[in-house]
Amino acid sequence: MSAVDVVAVADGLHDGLVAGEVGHCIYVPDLVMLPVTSRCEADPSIRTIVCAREDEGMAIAAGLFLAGKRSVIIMEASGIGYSGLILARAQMQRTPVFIMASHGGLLGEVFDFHGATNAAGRGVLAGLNIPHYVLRPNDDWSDVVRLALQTVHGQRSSFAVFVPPYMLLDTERV
Amino acid sequence: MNRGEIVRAIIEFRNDAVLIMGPGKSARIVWEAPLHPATMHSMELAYASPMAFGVALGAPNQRVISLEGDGSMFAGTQSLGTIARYAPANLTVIVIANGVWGTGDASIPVTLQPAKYADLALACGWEPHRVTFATELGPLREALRRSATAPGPWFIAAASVSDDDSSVNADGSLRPRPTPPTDLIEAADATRRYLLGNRKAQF
Repeated sequence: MSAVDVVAVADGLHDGLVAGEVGHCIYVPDLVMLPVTSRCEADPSIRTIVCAREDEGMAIAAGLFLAGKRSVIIMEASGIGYSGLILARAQMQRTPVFIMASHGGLLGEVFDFHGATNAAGRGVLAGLNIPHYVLRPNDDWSDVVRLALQTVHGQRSSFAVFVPPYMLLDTERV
Repeated sequence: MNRGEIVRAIIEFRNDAVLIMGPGKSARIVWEAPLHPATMHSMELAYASPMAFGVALGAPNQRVISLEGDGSMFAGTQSLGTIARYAPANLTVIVIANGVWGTGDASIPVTLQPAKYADLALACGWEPHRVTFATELGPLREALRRSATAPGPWFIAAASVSDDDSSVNADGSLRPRPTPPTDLIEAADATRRYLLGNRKAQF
């Protein structure tokens, strides 16, 4: 058994998106984030867009910001590694994106093949001075998302929430 | 056709559309016309179309045009598949295809020849009646007219001769490189304000 109630985490993250008035969820399919994207798919107040590359999704999210819409882009943290250039453009022109990404938090990483995922995701954010937060078991998960969205739209800065795999997957699958 | 003829035709049929342009010389021709506030230029390689797609999703009553070169479009081919799946009626993707990467000495061919961009769109799921490959101004203008008046999405590939008139005078002398009328921040802010209803946003 996982020490974390993974269903409650997924519900909390989705609730935070709703509380933050997110109307579009762009995502590249990912096993860890599946409980969140499936909740978005089932939510008629959120339109989902599945794209082929994470950097493509960042550009879509920036376009939605231009149109005055709130969105989230969900992915594995490796996708942030693909996205340095478009994230830089989004920061520069102040059309920020809100990212929720699996892995990237360092704690609880079981497999070495996620090493590049973590390094690329964290490295790009650090290089561009984009703030991030690593979700923890004792957080108010909904409020983390709601407040992160406040920062995105208040500061007009991109922001990432890293979701370690143990937060959304049963231990046996992590 | 050359790039100047193609871009001027796009401007003629643009009306109130948001225009997001990829990297390259086409923007220089756009800048020669009176500046529409919702005009973004020099979008990084491969991102003009997905950003335009995002605007189209967020502002469904607003026409949006993405203008790419063939090198930029080829670098972001997957966006054609994403756009085809969601098919926003207010989006037009235009590719000016001259067959070469338009930087360096502009001698390196893009993998796809211009005529193949329509095939690429079809392979990515675009409906055939929404895809045009134009080698002459007449069919191009007809495709642009249709895209301005009927629900899309529309994909238009316009074949251009590899030498263009944006950087060379008629006598062959080089024209000075123009300065963008807005910087990237101003362009994004003006576009956002335009989309949010402040259509007086000007620079």
